[in-house]
This record gives sequence, C-alpha cells and structure tokens, in this order.
Amino acid sequence: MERINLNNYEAFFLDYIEGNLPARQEFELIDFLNRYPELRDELDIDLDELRLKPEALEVDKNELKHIGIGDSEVDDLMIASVEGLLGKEEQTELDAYISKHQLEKKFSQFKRAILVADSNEVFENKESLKKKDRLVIPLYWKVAAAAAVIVILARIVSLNTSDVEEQTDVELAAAPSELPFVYPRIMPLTSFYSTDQGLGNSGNQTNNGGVVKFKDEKEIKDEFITVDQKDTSTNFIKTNVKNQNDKLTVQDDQIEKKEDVYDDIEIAQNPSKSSEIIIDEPIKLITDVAGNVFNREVSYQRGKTQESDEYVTHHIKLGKFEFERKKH
Amino acid sequence: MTKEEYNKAVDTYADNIYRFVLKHLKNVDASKDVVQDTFAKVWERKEHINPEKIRSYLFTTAHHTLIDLIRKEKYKDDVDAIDKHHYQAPIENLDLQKTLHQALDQLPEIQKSVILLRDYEGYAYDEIGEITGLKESQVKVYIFRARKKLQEILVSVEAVME
Repeated sequence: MERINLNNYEAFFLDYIEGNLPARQEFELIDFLNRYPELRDELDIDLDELRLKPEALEVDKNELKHIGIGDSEVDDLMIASVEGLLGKEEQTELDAYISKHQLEKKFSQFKRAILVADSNEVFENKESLKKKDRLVIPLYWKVAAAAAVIVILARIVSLNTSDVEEQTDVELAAAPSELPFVYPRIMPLTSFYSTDQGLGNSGNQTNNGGVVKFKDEKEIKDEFITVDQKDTSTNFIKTNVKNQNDKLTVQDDQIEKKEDVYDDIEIAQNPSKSSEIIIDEPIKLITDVAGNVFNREVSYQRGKTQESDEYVTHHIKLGKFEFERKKH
Repeated sequence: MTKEEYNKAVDTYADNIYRFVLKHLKNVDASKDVVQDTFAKVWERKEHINPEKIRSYLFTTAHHTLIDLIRKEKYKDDVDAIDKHHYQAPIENLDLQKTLHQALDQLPEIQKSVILLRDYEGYAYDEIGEITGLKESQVKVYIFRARKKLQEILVSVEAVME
C-alpha cells in the first residue's frame, strides 16, 4: 500500500475527512502531521459546507409529453409532410390540426414551394464533352510509314540532283550561246562578249559586222577569278565552266546567232525574268495520306525556273522537321 | 467506366449538371466551363468510377468545382453577369416558379445546393450528404431552413399581389 508523503497527502486527508481511511493509515497520517504540523489546517474542513446541493429546478413536463401538435412545431411538421417524412398517424394528426386552425393556405404554400427544373435550360454542346473513336495505328506502322515517306522523298531529291549533275558533267557547249542558263548566275554575258559600244576589242575573234566580239580565254579566266572572290555562290557553275575553258572554241556560225545572244544578254541584265521559280507538288497524294496517318503536316515541293526543266529547289516538310535544298 | 458509359452519362446528365451550376453562378459561360471541368475530371478518374454511381459522382465533382469557383470569384455577387436569355422562367406555373427561383438566390449557397439536389434531382438526404460532404442531419436542417425561407418569400409576394 502506498505510504503517505508530501505528494499524495491530500488523498489521505480526503479519505480521513470522509471517514474512509483505514485505522492503520490513520496512525500514519498522525505521524505525518507530527512531522509537518503546518498541514494541520488543511484537515480543519467542514465537508457539509463544501458539499454542493442541487438547485430546485422545475421543468415543464407537458412540453416533454406528446400531447399533440403545438404552434411552434406546426411549420416543421408541414415541411416534414412535404418532404414525405411523416408516418400515417402523424400525417392524420397534422391534417386535423391544419383543419382545426385553418392553416390550409400556409400548408398549400409549403406544398408549392418546390422548385421545378426548367427543361429549356440545356447544355447545348454535349458532343464537345464526349470522347470520340480515333483510328489507332500501331507504333511500328507509324515508324514504317515515316521511313517509307523519307525514302521516297530522298529518292525524288536524289533523282533530281543527279539529273543536274549529269547535265553539268556533260561537256558544256563550246560556244557561250549554248549556256543561256549558266550565264545569268555567273555574270552578265558581256563578260564573255564585248561589243563595240565601249567594251573594247581585245577578243581574238569577232564577227564580220564588228558588233559582237569574244574576249580571249585569259580575260575570261581572270574575270572568273574576280567573280569567284566576290560571290561564292558561283562556285558550282564556275568550276564547270573553267573545266570547259580549254574547249571554248567559238565557231563563226555560232557567233552569227547574235540575236539569240542579245536575248541572253537581256535576260542576264534582267535577273527577275529568269529567276522566277515555278513550284509544284508532284507527290501531293502520297504526302497527304502520310499527313493523315501521322496527324502531322507532310509535304514535298520542288521548283524549277521558267527557262529550264531543271528543278533548282526541293522542300520537304515532316511536321516540325523541314529540309530545303537549293541549287545555285 | 467505359467510354460508351461515359458518353451515355454526358447525354443523360450534362443538362442536369448545367442547370445545377447555372442556378448558383447565374453566368452561362462560367457554368459551361464548370460542366466541362466536371466531365473532364470524371473522365480522368474513369477507371475508378462505378458506372452505376456516375450521376452521384458527377454532382459531387460539380459541387466541389462550383464551391471552389464561388470562393475564388464570388460569382453570386456578379448580378450583371446574369444572362437573361438563358435565365428564363420555367414554362409551367410561370409566376410561382419565377418567384421561387428568385427566392432561391436569397438562400446561402449550401442551402441552395441541398434544395436543388432535393427538388431538381430528387436525391435522398443521405445521397445529398455524400455529394455535399454534410451529415444527413445537417442536410435535413438546411432543407428545412430553405423550405421555410421559400415559404416566407412566397407569403410576402402573395401579400403584395393581394
């Protein structure tokens, strides 16, 4: 059993006051008080004075009894009736009360206070909420189709490129008049021809009328070098023409085509006329189908100049990926 | 829930959700946005939704979305935003329903929700409790208060008319 000490003496005091402390512990308590006489005052308590006594409260027991519907609850009962919460007996009792107190109008108001949805209020675009069926294409099909389109496009570009290369590999015409497409991209044709109108007479050949003269090979080479330094875009043509310099022998009968030459000169002096490029889409059907399959924009366009059948631009688009090749 | 079940739910319940939301927001565009949001959220959770409870799930989602929006934007105070064209009185019992719907605007949002779910959708108290996150006893209290308020407004209107 617990011994009395300074931490628990209150429990012993209380048991002592209430007469519940065993005789053996009473001795312990007396011994404790001898050691701590200042605590004696705490034992000097009249419990009867401290004991709480219940107040004399009166309850209206009639309120607790079910003696019928009261004025304070009739509204709630009417609502409960509208809500369908009343049993048969309660409903009968309510109806009787309503009839007795002439509350039919009020009860009617509760019955009518039910909201009805307006069927004209509709969400108009239900289709936007629905999930549609979409064509499900396996991933490997997409990859295969992408590869096929790339191969086709690459092949087309390759074919067009090889055409040009083959053409440039062919020995270029010995006479400048056979190079109408090349000239405007290098320099004015007057670089090859000089006329009597102030361009000098240094050519080693002239036509009989003295209208058009060819410059000698050295002059042409020198001018090429000059142009080459100014414009790197002429590299392609320059190289080919340089390779042909040793074959650049001009025949009289070619020089006689001076009217053709003048046309060339006109083109050379008016680049816009020769630089117009016609764009077409040769495999639009294929690219459209590919575009639908990938759900991406797919296109292939090529362009050629008005004066030639040679395609000078190629443009491939696969979604965000674009590739363009131009020949100068 | 399958896509077909979801699309069927769109056909069946989109109008109900829309009306429920519109009665709170009084703004056609905002209400449509909430409907879109609601169905989008339901679609995202489609794998966890029992198709038989899709209606309750839709209203629960719409209610939460709605409450969030009202807290953020306080649409209920934006009287100017009422779209008169779309906020027409019901066809039947025109004056009474018009009066009741005007009275509805005087109710607190939570009372408005429970009374709309009760009257428009015919939900039981426990179902309304699930949708709104209230105890069944709370739902009853709110419905009783709302009915009493509607009746009082009806009395005052009829008194003026007489």
